[in-house]
Amino acid sequence: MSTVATPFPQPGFGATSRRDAWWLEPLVTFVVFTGFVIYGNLAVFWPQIFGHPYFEIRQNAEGRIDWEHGEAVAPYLAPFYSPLIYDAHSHHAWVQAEKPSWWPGWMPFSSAMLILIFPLGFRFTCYYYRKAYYRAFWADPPACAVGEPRTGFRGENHWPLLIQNIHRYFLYAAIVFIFFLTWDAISAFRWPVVENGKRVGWTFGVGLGTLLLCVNVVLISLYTFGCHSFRHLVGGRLNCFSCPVNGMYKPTTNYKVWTWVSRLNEHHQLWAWCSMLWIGFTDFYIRMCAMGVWSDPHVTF
Amino acid sequence: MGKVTFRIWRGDKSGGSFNDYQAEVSEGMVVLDAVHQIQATQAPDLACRWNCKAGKCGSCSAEVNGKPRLMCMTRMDTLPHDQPVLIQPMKAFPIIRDLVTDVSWNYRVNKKIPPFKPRPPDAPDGTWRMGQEEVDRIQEFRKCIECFLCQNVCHVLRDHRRFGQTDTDGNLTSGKGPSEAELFGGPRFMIRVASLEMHPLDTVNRLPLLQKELNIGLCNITKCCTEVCPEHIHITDNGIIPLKERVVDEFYDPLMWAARKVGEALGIRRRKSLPIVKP
Ligand code: SF4
Ligand code: SF4
Ligand code: FES
Ligand code: FES
Repeated sequence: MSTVATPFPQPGFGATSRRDAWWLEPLVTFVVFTGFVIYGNLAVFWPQIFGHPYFEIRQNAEGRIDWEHGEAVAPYLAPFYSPLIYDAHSHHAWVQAEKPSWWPGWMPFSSAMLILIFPLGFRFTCYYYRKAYYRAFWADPPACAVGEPRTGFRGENHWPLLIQNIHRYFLYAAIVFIFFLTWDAISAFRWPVVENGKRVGWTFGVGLGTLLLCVNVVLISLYTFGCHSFRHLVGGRLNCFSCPVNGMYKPTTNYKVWTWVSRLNEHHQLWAWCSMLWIGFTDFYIRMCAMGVWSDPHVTF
Repeated sequence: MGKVTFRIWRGDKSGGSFNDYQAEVSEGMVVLDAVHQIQATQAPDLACRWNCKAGKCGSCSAEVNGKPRLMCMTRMDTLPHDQPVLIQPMKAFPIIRDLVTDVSWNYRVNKKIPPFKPRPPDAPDGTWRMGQEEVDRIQEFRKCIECFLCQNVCHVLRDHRRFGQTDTDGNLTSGKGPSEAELFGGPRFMIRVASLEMHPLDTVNRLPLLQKELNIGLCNITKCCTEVCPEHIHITDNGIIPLKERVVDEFYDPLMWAARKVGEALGIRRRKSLPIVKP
């Protein structure tokens, strides 16, 4: 064991000489993250809880909200269901079918189940989120110079936390997802023209949902491209930023990109929060429109 | 500004307690000034280490109101005066007396890190060339004043006591042992390794050392080191995380592993730094 002894005994959970409100930050993190996880689960199990998935706004010939017999009257797709791989009716769906044929009959299904592992895995293994949940959920440590509840500690050296080392693979997936979300935002300007409950064409339009989806892409991109693994990939892994080209010391492209990414990376925590809250709200907003709780202000041309 | 009570820990390794002292606080004073005043007027035997009083020597580390700080850089007007100001020695290290701790463990960790070993000189006159961009990146790490506040606050050392094993002479032996005795090098030495690993002229590979001996995997990036660093070094973001990513390249990423194998088979040498002479 260690030969370094101190007169201060191993402090118990929460033991500290600090006098400030050190518990506030972990508490806020705990409450908001828990809320987000609960909402995420609601979104996944929406069809089981509310009867239908409600990821887009469907109305019937009388202009009333009607999931089963209606037609999409707005171009929005709730971001937790993007990309929409399976759906029997939606024009967003890649495969026009209720669910995959191999899906076990006894298991509840929603299209979000097929894709949500990627963004969730990305955030779960993100260096910022790790800091936040190790502090707020594991209390390891709850805050700096504050005692911990457990003495055992294995760091990220052993299974299962060893998995954190593959964060970069979730990054690759997250970059692909930016394309999906960008596509959703662009499509949100292309409004269906619906007559008597049938789509007869498309037209240009803008709604509040369009704006939410556009800002969503921007915030997710600021978060994703400030990723530490991305920073490593674009240049951090090199020791030589200005290796001579034809004998001249000039900053390489790697260096320039690394500088931009570093600038985003400095505020990675901020973008993590903004993008998380925004995507959650956007999803909720579209879902509430889809369920007829409120309606979306928009203009079409 | 009036009289303020200071509650200072007094004792040695056999034990101790907090004693209250009064000191006259005036404009612009720092905590170290008050400690000096108490030494001069009430407690001439109060032990405290200091040297520069300018935040540059890293000697006066302590915990003020529970926060690891340099006493000479903690202004009295940032602390509440209506309750006693609590001053304790760094909690993670063995006590010598009063506010003075034995930080020699850190020097033993330092000895495990292979020093800078540059490539052969770039120019016939025995000099090297490197770009400003590389210098800028590692300059940040060289601001370290070895106050060891980051080592003190790091929970892997402070709470989980991963100081590793020492032989009878007090030298560090291998970090690996029964898992409770796994050595953690601590944030200060992570950034020392970073300053060497990211150096464009250096030729040593310290990644196996980082992974096995200094156990970078024990750091769970909770960033307390960054919060307390008086030199505002971004220890976690610019030092530890980039090193973790390099360790992933070397030991965990299957694609990187495959790329290395293919590279070896094709006889491509790994480019760490390029020795090229400016004309
Ligand atoms: S970030 Fe790592 S090195 Fe720094 S205090 Fe936390 S666990 Fe220790
Ligand atoms: S990194 Fe900062 S906190 Fe750590 S020893 Fe150096 S100056 Fe002190
Ligand atoms: S570090 Fe946060 S997303 Fe990669
Ligand atoms: S006395 Fe030198 S850093 Fe405080």
